[in-house]
Amino acid sequence: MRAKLAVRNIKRSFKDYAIYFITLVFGVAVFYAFNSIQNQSVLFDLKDEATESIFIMTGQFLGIFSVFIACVLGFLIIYANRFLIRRRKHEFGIYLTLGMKPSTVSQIVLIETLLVGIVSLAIGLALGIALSQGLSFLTAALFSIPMVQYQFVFSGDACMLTLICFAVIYLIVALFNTFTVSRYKLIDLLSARAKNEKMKMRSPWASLVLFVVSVAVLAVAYALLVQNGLVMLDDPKFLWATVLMVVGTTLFFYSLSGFAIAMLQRSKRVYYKGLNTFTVRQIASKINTAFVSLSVVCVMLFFSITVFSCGMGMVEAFTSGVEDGTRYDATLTANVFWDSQNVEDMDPEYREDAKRVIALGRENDFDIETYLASLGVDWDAFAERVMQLDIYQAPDLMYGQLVDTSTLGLAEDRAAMVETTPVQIISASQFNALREATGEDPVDVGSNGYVVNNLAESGSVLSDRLAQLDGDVTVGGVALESKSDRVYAQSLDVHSFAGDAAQLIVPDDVIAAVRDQGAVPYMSYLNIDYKADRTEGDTALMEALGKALPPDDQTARNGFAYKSDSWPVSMTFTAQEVIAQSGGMRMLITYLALYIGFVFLITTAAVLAIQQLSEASDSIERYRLLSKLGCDRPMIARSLLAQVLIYFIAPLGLAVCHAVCAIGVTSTSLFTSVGVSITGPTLMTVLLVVAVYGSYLLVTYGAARGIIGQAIDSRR
Amino acid sequence: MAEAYATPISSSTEAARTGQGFGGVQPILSVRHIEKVYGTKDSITHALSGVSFDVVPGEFIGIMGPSGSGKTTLLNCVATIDTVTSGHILIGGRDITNLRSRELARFRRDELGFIFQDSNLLDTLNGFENISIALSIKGIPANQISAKVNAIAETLGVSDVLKKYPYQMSGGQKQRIAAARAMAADPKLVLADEPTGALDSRSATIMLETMEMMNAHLGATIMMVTHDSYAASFAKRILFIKDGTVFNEIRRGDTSRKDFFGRIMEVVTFLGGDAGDAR
Repeated sequence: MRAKLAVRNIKRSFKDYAIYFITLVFGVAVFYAFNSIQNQSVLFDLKDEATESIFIMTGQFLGIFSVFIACVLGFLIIYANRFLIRRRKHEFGIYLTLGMKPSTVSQIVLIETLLVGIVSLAIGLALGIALSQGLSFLTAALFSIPMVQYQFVFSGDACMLTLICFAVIYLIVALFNTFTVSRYKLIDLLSARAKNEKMKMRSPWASLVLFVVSVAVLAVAYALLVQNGLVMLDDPKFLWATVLMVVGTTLFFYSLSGFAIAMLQRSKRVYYKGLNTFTVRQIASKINTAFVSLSVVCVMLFFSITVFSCGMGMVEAFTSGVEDGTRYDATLTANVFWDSQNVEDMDPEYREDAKRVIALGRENDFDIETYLASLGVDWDAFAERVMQLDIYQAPDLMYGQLVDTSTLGLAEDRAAMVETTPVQIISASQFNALREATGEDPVDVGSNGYVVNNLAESGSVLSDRLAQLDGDVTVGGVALESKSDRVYAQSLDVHSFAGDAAQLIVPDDVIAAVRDQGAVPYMSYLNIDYKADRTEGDTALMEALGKALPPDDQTARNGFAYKSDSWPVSMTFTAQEVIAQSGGMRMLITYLALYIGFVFLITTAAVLAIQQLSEASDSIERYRLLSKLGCDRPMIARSLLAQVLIYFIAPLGLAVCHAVCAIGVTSTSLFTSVGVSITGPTLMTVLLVVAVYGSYLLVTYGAARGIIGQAIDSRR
Repeated sequence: MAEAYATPISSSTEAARTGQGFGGVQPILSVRHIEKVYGTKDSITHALSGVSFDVVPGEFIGIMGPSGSGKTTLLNCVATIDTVTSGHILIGGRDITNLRSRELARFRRDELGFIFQDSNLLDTLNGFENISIALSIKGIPANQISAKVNAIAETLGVSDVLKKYPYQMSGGQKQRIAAARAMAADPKLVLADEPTGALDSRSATIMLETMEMMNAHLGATIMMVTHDSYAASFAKRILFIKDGTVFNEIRRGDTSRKDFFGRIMEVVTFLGGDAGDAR
């Protein structure tokens, strides 16, 4: 009997439930699909552990964020339920007057909540399993690896996680509802409908002042954000910007309606045209209480837009670097880092070690290839080419002495750092060897010239200045002049992110002179091109390294196949790893951005939709009256559309303002430094928002029109 | 036409006597044998079975009848809110029974004014806006609206509640705002459904005097449905509906309202007695 009543109630209020239900199904589906990604690894022929570990890492990250997502969905479910329950006060009152026990009413509500929960969970899981099959193709595309053989993937873990998460949410909601219903008093329930909402109109002047204050607060928040640059997130400026943004947003919606209505009422031509009076009052009557949810929606939309577009920007950053970063098959890097002249001044803890390394390097003329060959590496067996490149620091010459670093358009602290950074120099013959290997024309610096090589976007202005420098640059006692205005962009090693910035390519004699003064390489790259394919080459290289530099117990425990030292080999990086890493990062970030962006978007849109639909059904009597007064359907539909549009567009508008500021800041501080344009990600974000948010808007409008149209017709 | 139906003042002498209308005046409302049938094949209810009457401009006609007599159905049909099963209703010479829904909305907007039992003001709008919305819907230019609203509010004595919201008004004030809304757009016919049903007797009298004034001085043609004999005594002519047909018709003529009330009571008692017999 109770179950029957519950089922009938759900069927009857299906129109109110529909959007909520669909959003729940989407939420469950997305939740499952993204949590099942780890299990997709079975679809691919994972050549190495690196790729597999990326799958595991992606899975873990998505798992961590799922907790966050579960909280957001939990918020939606609780909010929606509170809304739907509150609207049914009168119905509960009738049950009670008919002699139903309060506990029975609670049970009916409990059954309803659980029914909707179970059904949405079942449909959502089914949809999620279908969606995850589609995601595996996306994974293949992002990872740029072929799918070995397609097979149906079902993730038991993800399924369990989804079930547990949503079971907990529904249980909380059910308890919450039961508690709310059991606390209602009969008199309040029965008079709930008759009670006229009091029109609390705020003074337009107070609203205007508050509105101006809110805009000022937001302006301060934006200014703080620009200063912070969104790089240091533990900076108090960032914290203040966040707090002010939230406060400003709330104040904005709090004051907006009073102020806007006062303005509109002054413009009689607009206010007294058609149903405008009604529409404005209709919006105003609710915005006094709805400003909190509008603010929450706005902040969530902002978050969704920012996460998605920045995520897509980062994906582009990972994609664009891959080609440049894989010019060679592998690089062995020796991070010597020590300034040989100051060894005696060093911390005693490191002094002996530094002395040992420098002595070892000097003994072997810092020639990594020959030294490793002497330890048994047979280069000819697997390497087509082996090229060493040494980066030296010019003694007593810093970038600040050549260029005024405060005019480079860099942040203050960064400019100060560049000012005191020693100028990095590379010998022309080593540089030309790399150019030859990558099929580029060699550079000619003669005996007293230099050219500039730069890979990092952040060093581009500095490099331009150096290339166009009028005076001489004196390195190791030799005066050099710029040979070309052109800044070269020769890859010096295998990398994910280019770090080499504003290096001078100088004549070999200059390097020799610097070495004669006792300098040792700051850093050395040994670039290798394999004879065979990269997979075989990587194996051969690691095997050879492991034999030449056998790992001791500790390094072996840390997962190294060889003994890492400051010289000859600190670390290895292969083109294969770069591709796997960038594919992995691409996958991880794309999925995180999609996951968070989408869930936030549907949650906010659903909150607005539920609000608008219950608003429409609460206003049925008003529309009936308008119809009796002679309003035709199109006129009423226009008023409805205006209401839905304003409720959807107002928070979106402010969120877009916030996002433009945040993305603009991120774009200048982060993306331009890695050379990524924000246009593409922005377009994708606009597409996502228009598609998802727009659909919710249209469906809401359609449903609201249906509710009102039916109500008007029912009298005829 | 040969068939007998309740007619307005038809002779020129009577028209001269009451000071309104004259020979051959076009009725503003003509109801011709309308029938309204509810229900399915198994259980048919005849809410109206062949009602006919005319209303000429400037009339204040009351429709009385016991509950279930069909008087509200009749009003709703005239108001174009409900449709008839057969028969014709002509308002201002136009047959409204075959208008389409869009034209009906426009017709209501342009030709009719409504006063409902529960004032039916929009709770989100203040008094002024509740009157102005009717004008806005009709498409009256914004710059004329203020003047029109203020004028009608002045006439109906509600100028002091224009700034108030419905929840701040008394029942009588709400009802007079509703009357102002009905009159503001200058309708051909004002339809009132139990306009005093929810009012105490003092407020009811003020409301009825207001309507009487609307009829006498503003020239409004009013058709009022009521079951209250006191309210009905403010009308000039009364049609009694019983079991879906016109049962009786009485005119006030030159008699005082008190005498007219007495005559109404006689009919009502008779109707009530009849109903008692049937029980």
